[in-house]
Amino acid sequence: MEHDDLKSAWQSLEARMARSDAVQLALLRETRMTRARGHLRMLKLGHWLQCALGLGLIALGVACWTRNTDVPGLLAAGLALHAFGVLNIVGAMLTLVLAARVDYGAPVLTIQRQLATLLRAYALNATVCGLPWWIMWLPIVVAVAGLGDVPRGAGTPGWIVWSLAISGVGLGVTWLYGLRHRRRLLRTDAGTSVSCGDGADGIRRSQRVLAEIAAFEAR
Amino acid sequence: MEVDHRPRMDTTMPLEDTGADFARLLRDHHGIVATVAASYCRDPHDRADLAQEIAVQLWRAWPNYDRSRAFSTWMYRIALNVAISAVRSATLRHRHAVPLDETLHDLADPAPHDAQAEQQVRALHRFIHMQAPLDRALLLLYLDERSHRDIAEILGLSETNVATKISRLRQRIRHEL
Repeated sequence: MEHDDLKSAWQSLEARMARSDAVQLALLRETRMTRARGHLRMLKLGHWLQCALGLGLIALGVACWTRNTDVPGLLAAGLALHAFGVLNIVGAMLTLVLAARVDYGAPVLTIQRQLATLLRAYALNATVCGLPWWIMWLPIVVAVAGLGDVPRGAGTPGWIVWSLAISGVGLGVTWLYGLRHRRRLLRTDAGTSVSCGDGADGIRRSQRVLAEIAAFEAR
Repeated sequence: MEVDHRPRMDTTMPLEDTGADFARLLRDHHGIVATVAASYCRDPHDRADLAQEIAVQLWRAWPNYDRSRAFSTWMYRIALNVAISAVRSATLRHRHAVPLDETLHDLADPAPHDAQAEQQVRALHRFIHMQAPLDRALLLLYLDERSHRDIAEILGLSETNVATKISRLRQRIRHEL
């Protein structure tokens, strides 16, 4: 196609595109704006709630391990909760900060890179702070029990050992299922672009976006 | 050297008029939003959703708009950013799988014209939709006859890089269309 033909074809196509969406655009409804704002608010609220949960975990963990420095099980449970609480706050804050930094008015490649980083942080946060709940409910129960009077030298109750074993198996099975499911999907033709639902989809998607940007810059 | 003659914001405007001013600028430049939405979405519902999402993001970014810069350049940045992000979102990509020719049917021109011109429009439409999201952004800006400086500013590339890419794009258009 010669340049003049291209120009003429584009003018015709552009006019059709503009006409096609002009009515829709004129009908910009406040409901849509409200919905978008509501969606963003929910996203932010979720991460602020995660921060609050982290603070709660730290408070419970600190209360438990400072009172029971001479009971190894309770000390360990308290420290685990303390660390998990910090992890929850760091994960949520990191995601909130990255989300706040996204300004769609910045150059396309800059924003696409920032969005890929945000996606990766979001996926990592969901996995690192979500998957451990298979086990983390136990230290919570133990720590709550540790706030009361615990007889010195008392052994670990049997139900805790059993619960820990069952939770450990659950965590392992979830991880193995995710791994097998992902391998099966990645063997298919569309494997690189489908969602595996194993918690790492966001990370893979962010890798694809970054690779796409690098390829575009290199061409 | 190419000079941008596109309208710029009136920096003397009182703050309380900015809402009305935004609405006016959005109306004046709605073609950019419509063109970007139609270039990234085939389904009319997805297209309308994307156009509205772009408008929402424009409004959200409006307080940070630097009035000394061209509104259309700023608008292109946001529209393309939102569109590229949307096209990568699995929900939008897989929600409505519409054959390419039906998309153009939806954009049908009521005015009568010759068959060859119609064929060229279809070929160009197909070519646009065949491009990867970032290449499509470059193609749209090129077709809209934006200056290399504008394109560099919108995409975040150097002007030299833009010139190289445009030259390769021209070759591909000549070869594939």
